[in-house]
Amino acid sequence: MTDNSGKTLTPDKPPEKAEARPSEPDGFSHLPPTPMRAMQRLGGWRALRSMRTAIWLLLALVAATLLPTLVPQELANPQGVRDWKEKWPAFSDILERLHLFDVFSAPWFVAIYAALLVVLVLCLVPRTRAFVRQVRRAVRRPGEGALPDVALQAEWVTALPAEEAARRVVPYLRRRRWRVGKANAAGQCVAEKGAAREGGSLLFHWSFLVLMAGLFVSAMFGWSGYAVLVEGREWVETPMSIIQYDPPVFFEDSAHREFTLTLDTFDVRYRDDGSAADFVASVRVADEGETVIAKEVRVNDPLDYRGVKAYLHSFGWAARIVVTDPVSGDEVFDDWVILEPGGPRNMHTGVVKIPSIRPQAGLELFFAPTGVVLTQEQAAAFDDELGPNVLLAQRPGPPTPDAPVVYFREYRGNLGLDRPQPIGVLDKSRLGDPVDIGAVTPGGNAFELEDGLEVSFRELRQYSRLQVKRDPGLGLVAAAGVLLLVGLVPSLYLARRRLWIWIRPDPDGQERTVITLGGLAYQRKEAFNGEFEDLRRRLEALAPTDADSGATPNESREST
Amino acid sequence: MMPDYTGRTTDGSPFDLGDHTEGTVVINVWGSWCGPCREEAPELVAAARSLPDARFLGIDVQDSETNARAFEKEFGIPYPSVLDPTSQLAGRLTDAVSPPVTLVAVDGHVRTQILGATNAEQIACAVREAEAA
Repeated sequence: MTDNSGKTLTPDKPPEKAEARPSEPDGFSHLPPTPMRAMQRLGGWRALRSMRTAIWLLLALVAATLLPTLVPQELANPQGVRDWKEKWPAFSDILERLHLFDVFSAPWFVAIYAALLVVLVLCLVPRTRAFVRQVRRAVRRPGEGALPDVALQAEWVTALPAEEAARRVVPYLRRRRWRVGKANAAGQCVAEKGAAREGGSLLFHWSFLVLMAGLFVSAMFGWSGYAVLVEGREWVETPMSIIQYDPPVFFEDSAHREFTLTLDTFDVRYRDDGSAADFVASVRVADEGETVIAKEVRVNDPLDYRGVKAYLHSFGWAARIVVTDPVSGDEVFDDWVILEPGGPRNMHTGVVKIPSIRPQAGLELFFAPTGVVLTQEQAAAFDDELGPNVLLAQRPGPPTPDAPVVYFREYRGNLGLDRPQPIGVLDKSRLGDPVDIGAVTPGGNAFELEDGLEVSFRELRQYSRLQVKRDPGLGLVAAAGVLLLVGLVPSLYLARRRLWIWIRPDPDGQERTVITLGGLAYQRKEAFNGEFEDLRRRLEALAPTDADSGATPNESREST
Repeated sequence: MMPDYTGRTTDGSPFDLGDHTEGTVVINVWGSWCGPCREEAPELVAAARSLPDARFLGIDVQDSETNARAFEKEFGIPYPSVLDPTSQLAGRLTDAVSPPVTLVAVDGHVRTQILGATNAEQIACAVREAEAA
């Protein structure tokens, strides 16, 4: 094993009188003892503190969050839930009992979430405590005897006295950020490096806890929903004006700011294929009567006012439709009708409900921003719900309102308003077949239906649907992202390493000193081979065989 | 305490909530587009007739003036309703996310709240409770 030339010894050669390897040489993985011995005996405490349990719970949570992609949710898609209940009443009853129509409020979902939080805390707190203790504590003094049987070893003899050799070697290691422990009576000491890896790993795991805490805070105190604004009209931030409102669990009273948002204009630039290249909503915020913000809201550039953010979600056309009843001479309907894209023949659809006349009336609207007249063959080729007799379609390409027209069907009967229904959906189950059809253009003449109702299309504007939300946990979520990145880098790229250094007088009795070096990397072992060899070379230069040619520690500093 | 609010009623008259801070006031939040509001409207008319000592007030939310007037005419609503197209006033009085909501205020303080469609008997009971509180 002795090698006066200072070469690194081969790893497969065990040193003489090698001491038994410490059972936990790194000292990092010891969990502190727990007081709950009964639970320990049952294994429950250990399971609760196991990262494996946390991973299983995390997987369960991920699986649960995927369920809403398979089952419609009451909040996001109430109509879908109703459809399921009508189609499969028995199956839906089971789903309802399992809270699968409202997964995120289900007791079992909350239980998984809470369990994951508890397990993460139980995992991380003792591990962090152990880590802090480890970092704060001085490196342990090794037991006397031969160095442990580690993979990398080197030994050389220097003409320096042992004290002088130690004075050169130990400060050098410290300058290279090795934590060097005290030497035992035999002149053996241990140096450690790479604790940041464990710190990084802990930060990485804490980031999940912070992320979950952020999501929890948002769910408890935040809210979300949609605001539909027609150009030139106002919207006030109150629960009743938010569509698909997902309220906070706590502190509803203080959750809303009651500011007023006005959509001044909405501009869209289209590509030739009809898709939107860019769209921007020019909005104004007024608070207590004073305009406080005027902003152009774009995709990825939301409005942010007093903790409430408004993101562009979608847009389209709104038609002001007026219906007059000739019997009374009164207007029975006058409102902005949201025309949603995605209708037949690339048209936009909307509904008008007139419950105040008898029988009640409903209009189903089909809007073409640039309507084109079809031949009967062209109309038949669409093979859609409008049928071959409706000779209207939206022109392919950008939906600019060059020739706007609303085609409509009239229904008379019972609108079914005694049952919950979305505003934009006509429940035709008690209306029967259409009784009449018509078409109107903006600002044009009213269309008189056979039953005498007069329908006019007063004005056309754009609307914008904004996703509005208050997300008080967003800061925590962002902090979690930072923690995750900061923790991931050292945990991936650093390695914990340990050196054993033995500086002792030459047992042959000559006035020389033997220096033995052992090295062990717990990760990235290949990379440590080079580092160990470099370290050996530098230490040997500090404490050389020929005392006169040795570099001083100060000279060596230049090369570190 | 009732918030400060001025606006316009469905018949175009000026409205000031400050005029409704004395005695017992039954406030019904409604919309012509809202199915349960239609269901309870006859009950509110009956309650308004059977409780002559209480003043009734409607708050019409998320609605147009024309549609609101058609609703009032259809059900013969005997009391005034203030137009609240942005739900600003309703939002100051209740945390409910949709109409109908019926509130009973005594001397400017909202004492009871009924969420969802109600009936004349329930309103009478709420008025008694609010006045006794």
